Amino acid sequence: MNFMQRVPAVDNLIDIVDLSKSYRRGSTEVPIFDKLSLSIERGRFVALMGPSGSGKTTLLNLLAGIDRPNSGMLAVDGERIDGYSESGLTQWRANTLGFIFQFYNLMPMLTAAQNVELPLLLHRMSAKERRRRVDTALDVVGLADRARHRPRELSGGQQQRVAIARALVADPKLILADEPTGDLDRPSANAVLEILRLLADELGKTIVMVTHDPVAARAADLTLHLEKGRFVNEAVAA
Amino acid sequence: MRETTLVRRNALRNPVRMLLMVGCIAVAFLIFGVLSAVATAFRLEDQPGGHERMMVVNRNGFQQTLPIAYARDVARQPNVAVSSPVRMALVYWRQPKDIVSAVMVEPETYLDLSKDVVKVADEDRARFVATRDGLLVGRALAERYGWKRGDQVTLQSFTDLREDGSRAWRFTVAGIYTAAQPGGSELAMAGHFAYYNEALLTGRDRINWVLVQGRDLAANDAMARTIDAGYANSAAATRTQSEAALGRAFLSQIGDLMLIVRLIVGAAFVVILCVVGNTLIFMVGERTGEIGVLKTLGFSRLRVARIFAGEVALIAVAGAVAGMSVAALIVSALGTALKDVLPGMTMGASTLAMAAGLVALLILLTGILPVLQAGRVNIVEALGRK
Repeated sequence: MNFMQRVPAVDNLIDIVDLSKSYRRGSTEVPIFDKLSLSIERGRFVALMGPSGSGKTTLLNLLAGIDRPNSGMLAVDGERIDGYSESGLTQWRANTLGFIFQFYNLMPMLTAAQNVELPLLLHRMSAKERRRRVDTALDVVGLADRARHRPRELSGGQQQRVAIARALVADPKLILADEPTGDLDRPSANAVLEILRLLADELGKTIVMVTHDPVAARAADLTLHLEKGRFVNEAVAA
Repeated sequence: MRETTLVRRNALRNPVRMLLMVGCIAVAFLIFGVLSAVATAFRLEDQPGGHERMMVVNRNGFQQTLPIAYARDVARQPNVAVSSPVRMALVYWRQPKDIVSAVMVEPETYLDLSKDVVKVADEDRARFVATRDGLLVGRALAERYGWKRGDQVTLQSFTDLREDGSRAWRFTVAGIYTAAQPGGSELAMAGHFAYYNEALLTGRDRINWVLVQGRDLAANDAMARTIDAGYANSAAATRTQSEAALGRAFLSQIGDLMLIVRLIVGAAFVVILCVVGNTLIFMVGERTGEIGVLKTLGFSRLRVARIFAGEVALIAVAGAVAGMSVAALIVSALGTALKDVLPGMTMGASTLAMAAGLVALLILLTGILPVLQAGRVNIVEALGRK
């Protein structure tokens, strides 16, 4: 696939079958969800909502390969990742995943362009190609003119857009966003949501976004509600 | 951007802390560099000819004297190629603070034995040998006091009286010598033993040591044993050793210099190790969240550890380079100032190699815990996502 080429949403990118996860707190086993199943089509923008403790973040962690299920199957793009070793998951994340954090998590000592370039350090490519990708990613989020700015010189909304460019630059199949608008004012949040919408519509990225914000959820194609580790309903955007 | 950019930017993100850590390491290397140079200067074994030339001294130390007859006996030993008696003279010129390092010698044998130490033009040598009250003076000493060939100089002795009861010894500057090796002393002088000896009121026919050049280097030890055995029961028992061994024996009188150097450097490094190691561990703890982010982006445990190892290496190398550079300047200044007392004080290749080894050790010891800590960071915990 060429960088940023649109991919039609024809099949599932994510398949979860009977996924169970619990945490041990002291001597107590705290179940997060039990036998959870879910499929998300390629190119979909899905919002994940639910009260605190419902399992949203845990599900996102499992999808990101930074946590492991106790049992069940978790496949992304037909590739089962539930049995991967730590190094296998690391490699998989570098090749498949883009991640957007609530609090941007940019490296303060790097410029916007260098922050965006970070994931490309994990890929073999020429410096010229790297520059081209960074420029394109910053252009997509409308920050081409802020490339040399450090995070502290950018507003919260701009920082989040840099984080989106970072998530996008390695051309991942899946982008996970953890409350990407949670720390932003409404205009900035809307700008971020517009970009995410664009990534799904124009670039065919599959996006799973955890949010508490119903307005943000409305930007998605589909909203899944989690309560006590179960999906209670789903809403499809009009 | 390369990974090294990330390393450099990370290291420089808190310039004050970076500067303090580099400063700490620099101080340790400064101490190491200066003390090593001083210790090297004391080690006579590295001096040219030092391992070949032997010295016969009084068993109680070279400040104690030997009868001149010993020199003649030593010269008759089968392995002896050249030998030369030497008497120290504690003298000054004009004022007691202008102390001059002087020896009274047999000119020809002494110069034959000292070719690797002093360089004398043929005409200067001939004039010195032929002039009974002649002095062979180091170039730097002559320049310091404005002495020229043919000048009459009167030196005052701290210890030796002339037969007339005076302490004034008159000499003629017969020749000027230069150091045969870079860094060698040019602040000493030599006079004729015969001229000095005949005028002595007391302590006549006594010398401080006999310089000996063996024919066969391998037979030196046996020769030394034979000489010492010959005087074992005499009033002035001898100790015959190489110049290097005697130098070390002399230093052992004021303590094991190398041990002192090692202890001081060791103490400095242990302190630095604790300070820098602790700071690095704190630094990793402070950046746990960032490590979690890097790992989420796909940076492996090894790559994260490598980034932190790079930072540790950068800080350690910067500190070592700074410390050794300042040490080199100090050693150079000290070497000039103490040229006469401690000739050959330089920062040699062995010191630099040892410094490189210390940097590697420092990186390993201070870096191992923080690097392991960084590699082990759990993403979920680091991002507070549980």
